[in-house]
Amino acid sequence: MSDALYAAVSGAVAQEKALEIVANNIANVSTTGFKGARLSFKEVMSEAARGHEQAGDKQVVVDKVYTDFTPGTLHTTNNPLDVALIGPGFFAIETPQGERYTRAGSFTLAQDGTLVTTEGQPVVGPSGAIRLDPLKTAAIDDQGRIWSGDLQVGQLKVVDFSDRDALVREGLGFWKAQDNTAQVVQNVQLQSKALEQSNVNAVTGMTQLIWISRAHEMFHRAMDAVRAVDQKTTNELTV
Amino acid sequence: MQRAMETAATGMFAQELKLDVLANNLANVNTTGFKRSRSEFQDLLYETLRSPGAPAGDGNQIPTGLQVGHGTKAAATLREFTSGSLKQTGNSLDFAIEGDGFFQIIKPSGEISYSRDGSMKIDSQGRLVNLDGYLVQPTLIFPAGTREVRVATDGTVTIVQDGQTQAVEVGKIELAKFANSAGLEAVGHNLYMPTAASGDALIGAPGTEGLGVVSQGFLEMSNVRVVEEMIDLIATQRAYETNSKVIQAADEMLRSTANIR
Repeated sequence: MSDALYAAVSGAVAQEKALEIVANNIANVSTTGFKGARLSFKEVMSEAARGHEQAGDKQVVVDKVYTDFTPGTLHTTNNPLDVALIGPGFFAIETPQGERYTRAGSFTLAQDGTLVTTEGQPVVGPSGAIRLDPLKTAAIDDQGRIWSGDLQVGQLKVVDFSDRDALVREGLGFWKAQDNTAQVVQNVQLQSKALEQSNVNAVTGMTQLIWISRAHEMFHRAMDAVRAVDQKTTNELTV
Repeated sequence: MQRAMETAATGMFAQELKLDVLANNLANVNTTGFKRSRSEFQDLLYETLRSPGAPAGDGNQIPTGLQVGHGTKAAATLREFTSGSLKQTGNSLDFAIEGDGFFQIIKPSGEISYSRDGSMKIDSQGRLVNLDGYLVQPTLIFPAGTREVRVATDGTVTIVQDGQTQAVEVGKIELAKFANSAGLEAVGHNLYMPTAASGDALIGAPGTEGLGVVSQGFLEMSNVRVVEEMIDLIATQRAYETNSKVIQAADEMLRSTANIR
C-alpha cells in the first residue's frame, strides 16, 4: 500500500515544483524578450525496486524544464534605439562575467556614446563595443546596422545556437552559452523601433495554473483513497 | 510553494508600477508637449537545480537543465519622444516644433532645461518667457510698442512696431537636440534635464542638423493615445489578477498539504 501512497505524494510534490515554474512565467508577462519555461514529468523507480519489476513502486518527478523559444509579439515603441529580432537569434552583450545573450533589444547610450543595455552593459558588434557620436542622431536599421548621423558606425552581433536547450538562464534577460557554441547570424532580420514582448500571456498562464491545481488535488484524493483502504484493512483484520 | 508566492508577488509589484506609469500618462492626455512613458521589466535570477550539459553517468550529458526563476523586476521607465499632433491656436506666441528638438528654458537656478512646450508669454521687461515665467534661451527682448511678432520656420524672430510698416529682426529661436532623447530626465513643469544617458545638448537653428522647424500659432499636443493606454490598462489589470491567482493556487495547495494527517 505504501507504494501507492509514495507515488501519490511524489505526484503532489512534482506539481508544487511545477507551480514555481509557472509562477515565474506569469510574473514575467510584461518582461521584454522573456521566453516562458515549459516542463515535463517522468516516472522514476526507486533504487530498491530496480530490477524487481514491481509495477507499483514508481514515483513522479519533474524531468525537464525547457524554454519555449517561440517569438513574442512585437510592440512598436518608436524609440530609435529599440530593436526586436524577427526569427531566431540573440543579441550579444558584454557583461563583467563574459559574453551573454538576450532577446531584449531595449538599448540606450552611455555618456561616451557607447551603445548599452538599460543596465549599462555594452552591446557587442563583431569587433567589440559600439561607439556612437553623442552629438549625432543615433539609429539602428532593420539589418542591425548602427548609424550615427549619416555614418555607419557598427553592426549588431546576432548569434544563434544549434542546441538552444543547452543555454542557461541567468536572469535580467540573459542566457549563458556553453563554450564557443555561438554561431554568428549573417543576414540579420530586425524590426527597428520596436520591442519583442514576453511570449507568455495571461491566458496560457491561467491554463497551466488550473492544470497544476487540479492535478495536485487529484494526487491528494489518491492519498485519501489509499488511507481509506488501509483503514478498512486494519478494521477487518482486528475483528 | 513559498517561492511560488514570492514570485507571484514580484509580478504583482511589477504590474502596480506599470499602472502608476499608465495613470500618469492618462492624467497628462491634455498636457502640451507631454511625452508618454513606458516601463520595462527584466526577469530575476534563476536557481539552477540541474545544469544542462552536466554528466548523467555512462558518459551521457543532461540535455536540458532544471532552472527555477524568482519573478520579475522593473528595469527602467523610458520616454517615447514621438510627435504629438499639432493644434492651431492662432496665438502669435504659441510655438510647436515639427520634428526633433527642444526649446531651451533657463530655470530660476540658472540651469538650462529643455521643453517641447512652446506656449510662451512676454514678461514685464519684454522678454520671451514660458508659462512659468522662466526665460527662453537665447534671450529675446521685444521693445515697447511691439505690434506684431512673426517667427519664421528657421526661428528668425521679426517684429513690427507701432507706427511702422517695416519688420525688424530681434533675434532667433534656437533649438537643442540629444543623441538619445529617451535618456532625458523629466523634472516636471514640462521640463527635461540632460543626463549621462541623453548626452550633451547640440544647439542649432531650426531646420538645420536634423532639427525640426518652428511653427508659429500652433501647440504640440500630448503624444498619449487614450486607446493604447486603455489596452495597456486592461492587460495590466489581467496580469495582476493572474499573479494573484497564483498566490491563491499556492495557498490552496498548501492547505490540502496541511490537511494530510
